[in-house]
Amino acid sequence: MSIKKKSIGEHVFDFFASVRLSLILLAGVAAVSILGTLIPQGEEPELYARYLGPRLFDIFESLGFFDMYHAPWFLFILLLLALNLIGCSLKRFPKTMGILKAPVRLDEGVFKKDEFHYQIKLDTSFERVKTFLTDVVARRYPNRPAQDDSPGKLMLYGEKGGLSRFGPYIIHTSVLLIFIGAFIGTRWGFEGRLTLSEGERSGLIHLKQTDLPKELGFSVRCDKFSVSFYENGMPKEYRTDLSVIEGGRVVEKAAVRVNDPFTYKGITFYQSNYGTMGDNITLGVRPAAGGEEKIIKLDPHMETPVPGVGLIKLVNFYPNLMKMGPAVKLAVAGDAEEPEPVVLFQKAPDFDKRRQAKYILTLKNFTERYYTGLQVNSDPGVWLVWLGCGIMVAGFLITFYVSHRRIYVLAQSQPDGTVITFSGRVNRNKLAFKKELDRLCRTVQADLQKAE
Amino acid sequence: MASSYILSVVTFAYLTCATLYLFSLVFKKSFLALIATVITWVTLGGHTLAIILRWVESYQLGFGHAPFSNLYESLVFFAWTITLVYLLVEKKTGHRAMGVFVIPISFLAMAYASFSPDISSKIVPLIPALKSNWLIAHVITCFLGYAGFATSCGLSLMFLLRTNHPETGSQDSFWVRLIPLSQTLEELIYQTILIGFLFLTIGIGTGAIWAHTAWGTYWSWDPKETWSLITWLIYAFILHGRMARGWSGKTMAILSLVGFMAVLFTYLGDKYLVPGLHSYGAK
Repeated sequence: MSIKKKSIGEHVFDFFASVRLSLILLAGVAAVSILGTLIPQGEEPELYARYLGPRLFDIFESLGFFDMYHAPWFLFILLLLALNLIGCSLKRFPKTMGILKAPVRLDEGVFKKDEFHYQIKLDTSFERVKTFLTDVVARRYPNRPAQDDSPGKLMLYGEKGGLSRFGPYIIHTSVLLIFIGAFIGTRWGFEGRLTLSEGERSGLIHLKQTDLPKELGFSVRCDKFSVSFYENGMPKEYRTDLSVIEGGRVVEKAAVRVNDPFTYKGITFYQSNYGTMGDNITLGVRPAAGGEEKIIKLDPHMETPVPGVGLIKLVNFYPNLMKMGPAVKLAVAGDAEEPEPVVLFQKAPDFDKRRQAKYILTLKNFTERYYTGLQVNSDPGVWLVWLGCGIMVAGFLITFYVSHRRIYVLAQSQPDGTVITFSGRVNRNKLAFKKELDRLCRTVQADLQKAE
Repeated sequence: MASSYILSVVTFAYLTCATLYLFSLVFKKSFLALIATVITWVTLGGHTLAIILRWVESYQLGFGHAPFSNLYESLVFFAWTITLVYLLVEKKTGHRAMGVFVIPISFLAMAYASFSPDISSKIVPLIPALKSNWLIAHVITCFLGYAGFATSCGLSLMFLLRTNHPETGSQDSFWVRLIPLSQTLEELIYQTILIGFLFLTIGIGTGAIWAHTAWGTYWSWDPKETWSLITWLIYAFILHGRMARGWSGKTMAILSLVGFMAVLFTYLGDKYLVPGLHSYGAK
C-alpha cells in the first residue's frame, strides 16, 4: 500500500476547505467587529490624536483602525471567509451526493446498528402485515423506495427530506450572493448629497466619500419642502416635492418622504435633512464716519461687489443665531489678503461697529426659505443582497426544519404471528424523529390490531 | 391608562411565577410547578391584552402605531416573547422546572422597564424615520430571536447545573421528572438556538431593508448593527461547531451563555456604552 503524497494544490484546497478555518474566521470577524465598536469609527483625525497620543495614533492609523470595516486586511478576512465557504462546500458536495445517490442496501445487517430501533410483535398474519406496511411506508416515506421479498420475510426502505442535505450549500451560496451584491454596490454604485432650496434645480450631486461632484444625467427641481409636526411638537413628516427635468421638460413629479424614497433611472432620492436659508437678503452699508446708508441686494450664490467695501459673499444664514434672532455670516474681501468673516444680527444694527472698519454693515431684510437635503444613491448590487437574504432564510428552513429521514422495515413471519422491526436514520432533529417513529409504531400496531 | 396598570400587575405575576417554579424545585412539589405553569399562561394572556390595549390607546391619542417603538415597549415585548417561547417549549417537552431559569428573565425585563427612572412608559408619536412596516417586522423578528436565545441561555444554565449534579438513577426521582435529561436538554438548547438564529437573521434582514428605505444604505456598521452581526457570528460559530465538529452539550451550553451576553449587549449596549443610530428615540 502506497501512501499518496498530497500535492501543494491539495494542501491549499484542504486548508480552505477545513471547518477549523471557518471557526477561526467566524471568531476573527467577530473579534474585529468588537474592536470596531470599541474604537469609534470614522471620527475626525484630531479627536483620535488627542486621545491616543502621537505614537499610538500613528500605529492605529497605519493599521486602518479608524475605518476598520473598509481596511484592506478586513476585506481580506472576508475574502478568506468567502473562499472557505466555497472550499468547504466543494469538498463536501460529492459526499452529500454520494449519500443521496448510493444504492439502497437491504439486508438484515442494516437493522442492527441503528440508533433508532423498534420491534413489535403482532399476532396478525404475515400477508396482512405485508400489504399494510408496503402501503404505509410508500405513503409516509415515498422517495427512493426499495423492497426485498422472500417467503416469510419482507424488507422495505423509503426516505424523505433528502433536500435537507442541500441546506448548508444553499445557505453558503446565499452568503456569497450577499458578498457579491455588496461588492457590486461598492464598486459601481455611489452615494451622494444634493441640497436644493425651494425652486432650485440641479443635476449635480456631491459624492459622500470623496466630495467630488457628479453629473446625474438629468436634473431635479425642489418644488416645495414641507415639514409637519404633532401636537406635542415632535416632527411628523418631512416631504420634498420633486420634479425630474430631462431634455428641458418635466418628465416626472414625485414626493420624497422619510422612509418613502423616489427612484428615477436607477438613482434613488432619500429625504435626509432640511433647513432654512435666507433669500432676497438686503444689507445696509454706511460709512463709519457718518453719511447716507445705501441698501444693496446680496446674491445668495455669488460674490456681490459693493463700492467702497469690496466683494461680499454669503457664507451662512441663521434663522436664530445664539438665540439673538436672524443673522448672516459673510466673507468680506476688501483690501486685506484674506476675506474677513463678518456676522450681522438683524436685531442689533450697531453690532458691526465693533469691527471698527471704514463702513458699517447691517442686515436689513430677508425672506426665509426651506432647503431640502437629499441623499442620492445608486446601488446596482442591492437586489443581489435581498436575493441572498431570502435564499438564506429558505436555506435555514430547509437545513434546520427538514431532515433526511430514512426508514428500514423488516417483517418476519413467525408461527404465532409477525415480528416487525423498524430502523431509522436521520441527519438531524433526532428528538423529533424519535417521536415520529414512536408514533409510526403505535399507529401500525393499533391499525393492524383494529383490523383483526 | 389601563394597559400600564395591567402591565404592572403582569410584572408582579411574573415574580410570583418565578417564585413558584423555584419553590417547586426546592420543596420538591410538582403541583407547585403545575400552578406556576397555569399562572404563567394566564399572565401571558394579560400581557398580550395589555400590549393590544396599548396599541388601541395610541390610536385614541390620535397617532396610532404598533407598540414596538421605544425601549419601554421593546422590553415589554421582549418579556412577552421570552414567556411565549418558553411556554411553547414547556408544552412540547412537558418539563416544568425549566421555568426557574427562564421566567425570571421575563420578570427582570418587565421590572427594568417599569422601574428604571430613565425609561419612559409614555406613549409618544413616531418620528418620521420610525414610520415603516419594515420596522415593525424588524422589531418583532429580532425579539423573537432574542427570546430564542434567552430560553437557550436559561436551558444552558440548567444543563451546566445538571451535569454538575449526580444523575439520580431512578426514572421516578423528582429531579429527573422535573428537569429533562442532559441529552434532551442538549437537544433543546440546540433547537432554541436555531429559533433564535433564524429569527435574528430575518430581523437583521428586515432591519437592513428598513435602513435602505430610510437612509439609502442597508448596512452602515453602526454599533448596534455591528453587535447584531457579532451575535450572529457567535451563534453561527456554535452551530458550525455542533454540526461539523460534533461539539458536546457542555461546550454548546457555555458558548450559549456567551452568545446571550452578546444578545444583551446588542440590545442594551448602545444605550449605555456606544450610542448609534438605534439609541431609542435619542436620535
